[in-house]
Amino acid sequence: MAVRVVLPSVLQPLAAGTGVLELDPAPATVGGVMRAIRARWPGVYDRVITETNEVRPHVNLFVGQEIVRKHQGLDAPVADGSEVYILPAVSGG
Amino acid sequence: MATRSRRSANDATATLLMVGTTKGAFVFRTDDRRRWTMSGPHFRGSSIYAMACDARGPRPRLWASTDSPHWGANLATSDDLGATWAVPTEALVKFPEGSGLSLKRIWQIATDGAANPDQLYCGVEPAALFQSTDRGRSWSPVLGLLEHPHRRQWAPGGGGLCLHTIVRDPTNARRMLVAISTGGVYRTDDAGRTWRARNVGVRAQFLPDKHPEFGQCVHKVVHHPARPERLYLQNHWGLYRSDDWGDTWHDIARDVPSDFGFAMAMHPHDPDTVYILPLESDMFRCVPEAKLRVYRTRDGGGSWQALSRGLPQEGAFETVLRDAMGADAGEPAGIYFGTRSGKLFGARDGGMSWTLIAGGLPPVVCVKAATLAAPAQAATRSAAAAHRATGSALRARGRTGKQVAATQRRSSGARARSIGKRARTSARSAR
Repeated sequence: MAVRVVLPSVLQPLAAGTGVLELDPAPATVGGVMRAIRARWPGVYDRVITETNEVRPHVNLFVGQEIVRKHQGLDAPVADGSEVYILPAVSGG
Repeated sequence: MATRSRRSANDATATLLMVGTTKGAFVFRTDDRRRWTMSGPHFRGSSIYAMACDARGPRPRLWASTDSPHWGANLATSDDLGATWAVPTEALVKFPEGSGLSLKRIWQIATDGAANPDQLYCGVEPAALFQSTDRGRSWSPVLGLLEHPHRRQWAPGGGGLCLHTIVRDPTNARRMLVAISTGGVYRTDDAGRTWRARNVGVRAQFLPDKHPEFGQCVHKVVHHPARPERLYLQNHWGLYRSDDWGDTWHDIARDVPSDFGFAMAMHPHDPDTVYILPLESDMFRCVPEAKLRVYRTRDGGGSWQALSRGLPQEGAFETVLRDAMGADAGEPAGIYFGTRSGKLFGARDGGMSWTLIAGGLPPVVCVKAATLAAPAQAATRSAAAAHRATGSALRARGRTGKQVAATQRRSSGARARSIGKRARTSARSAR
């Protein structure tokens, strides 16, 4: 089983234009998902994770409908077949 | 920064104004400094705190620091005077793993230094200096400053803990001065290996010890390449001059309504002429008496005169920030500034009479001017045409390494429009 990562449109150019990244085998945690993204789509990773390995303050990651910031953050578990969403928070310029 | 050779009004030149705002970048262009065309906003929704024109190569390259509220900070370039921009796929300016630091904003891009045209510097938040020796393809932190023992005692000012000013010595490639809010002025004489605080005489109004070795909230430092050892400093309370590369500073706040302010600009041809825009106080950061006045010294800070012709003199609750004033290299010099309320003013006579170039912009945080010679313009037009034809000229030439995000190119040049008539109308109402 794989994990599907759904990108917002603004990040899709950094992943060869695709809106959904398939990660197979499925990483066990959200941090593992981000490391897998870093290996293949480093531009996406840079927009989401800082040099100190934190999710940027105005970016939200969801596993299914659960926002990970309120739970275990990058240590949040990811089950086979999950969908991970990367979304801009309710803020803007 | 502006090219430094004198150019009279009769020379075939173009003047470029690079205007960074909290919601994007705008590029204004003119051939006569009367009628301007505008392109932008580029990088819609991103704050643009630093812009620069590097005129050292075969054609001018514009730089912009982009700061998205969501996706972080990056550096973008344009080789066609802002018509299109290339944004690197990966962030090029990064703190080393293990440093415990992450990039928040790029506050300054320094493109001067004729000795090595491939060398660039940028100043960032949290306070650090990054260097590129390959014309911006890769960047690394200047470790002598990153690992400075004072770092742990530096504290953020209202804008964050930022390194916002880079002053290079055109006669000595190993010497450089930087300013940090709040950390003060630091100078290296050994190409960045070691740095010494250079704040003797500069007060820190907000600390129990008013004259510490470091910790001052310096807002801007300028100098003239013809007299590089003479520095002018606008402080968080205080206006100073140094004649010895910052070893000592002396108060020059005479005849000004306030010695609090942010913006400071050097005259392009005269080492004794400097422009500032005083604000009432740190507690009320608007121009004194709600009168928008630029102050100019022509005698190295011995005296200051208000320049207000064409600027609103009542009800002007305006703020001008540290990088929002600049000068072109024209003869006479053009002086420009932008306000937090989105007005862009210019004077093509050294500051004697001002007109509103544009109003209604987002809050302005950066104004940089460049004077471009005719051959460079021609080369740039040719390059821009080729660029648009291929869709990704930079990638095709393989010149920019990671800068291959062709899909991220912004093409806002088509939106360029003449605003001269509107600007003149607005200027009349501004009076």
